[in-house]
Amino acid sequence: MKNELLTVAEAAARIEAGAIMSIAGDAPLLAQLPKGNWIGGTSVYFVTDAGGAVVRDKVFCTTFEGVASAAPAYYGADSLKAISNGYKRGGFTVLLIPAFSGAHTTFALEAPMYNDLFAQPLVGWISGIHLDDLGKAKPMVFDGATGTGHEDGAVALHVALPEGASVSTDIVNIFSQGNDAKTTFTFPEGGFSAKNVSVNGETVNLAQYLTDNNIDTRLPLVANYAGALVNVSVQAVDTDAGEVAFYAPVVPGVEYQMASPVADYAGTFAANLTDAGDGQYSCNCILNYLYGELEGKSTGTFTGPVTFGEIAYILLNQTLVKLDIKAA
Amino acid sequence: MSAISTTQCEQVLLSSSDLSKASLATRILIGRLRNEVKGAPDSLGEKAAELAKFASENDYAANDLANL
Repeated sequence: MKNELLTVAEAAARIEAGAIMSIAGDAPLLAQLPKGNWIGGTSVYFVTDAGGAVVRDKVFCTTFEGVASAAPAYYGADSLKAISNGYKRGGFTVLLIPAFSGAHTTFALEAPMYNDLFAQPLVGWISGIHLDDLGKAKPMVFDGATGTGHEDGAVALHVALPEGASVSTDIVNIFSQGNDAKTTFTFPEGGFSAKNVSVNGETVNLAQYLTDNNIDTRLPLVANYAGALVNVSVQAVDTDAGEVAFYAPVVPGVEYQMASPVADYAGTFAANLTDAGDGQYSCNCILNYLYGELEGKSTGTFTGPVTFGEIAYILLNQTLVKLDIKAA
Repeated sequence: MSAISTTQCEQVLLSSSDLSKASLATRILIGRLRNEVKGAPDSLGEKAAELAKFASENDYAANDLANL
């Protein structure tokens, strides 16, 4: 697997040579690419070999080498539940979804219940835009098979591997539960926003609680899924409306804790990653990029797009997702 | 790989043990199922059956559960 920043001409030549690729870049660049065996999503933020950077004149290309075949596919929000129908036995799927779209919401809420979701690794990310363009531009995804860009729905690259090859995925979450282990948050209802929450069994207004207790909302709420720490990041706190918005849905009944603070995001990522990132697919979260001030800082050898949400079977926040292929 | 019994799956779902050695998929699924059982204890049998089916259909999951 190769991870590289390429010019549009270089990426186009790679596509025309038949390469199987996942591509991230600014929308006008992705729109110039020829049809082929690729999917793309908009992002202008990247973790590069030299550190975090905003790049608008090149596209970040992951070229999957040594795989057997691949099939790009577009799914509308309503058909995402059938994504496992496209799975290639023993292979993997990369899924890209535009931020703020109907598909983003649908996937976040419904993916945990999708049929055969876990039958093979499913990784990917939520496409974004430059933060200066919020309200002016929309995140997009591109289906290389047709060369079409979409502001809603999702594109998937279903990849088959040769006999004997294997693939694995995992997450790196630099946050842990336990900033205040005695304080737990449990939501009566799920969704991308919440008014009330049970804090240690007492129902309170979450927006007011966060404000009154001067809680640093750059830190996510963290749930422990049998050893997998899953974050939900706070998007906005509206004390007038008494409502808190999240970047991923909270799940009713799940016990969350506020994350412990992280002093050095770049160093903590580097310490939690091996030096094997060169040959792996990965993405990291825009909130880590912003809050950790990753621009110009290296997080090790894992390079890739900086995204508005990460996918490792389900929607994640403030998490690095990685995928590794072992040759036969 | 021998089949994972529904009883074994019930024990996994009633436990709160950390399964850090298991695959990400197994951890996420068990995390969800444990939460659902906590919210509706009567659903234990149904959720254990779902976990057993998951293990029977995915070798990596059966391996995860066999090595707990």
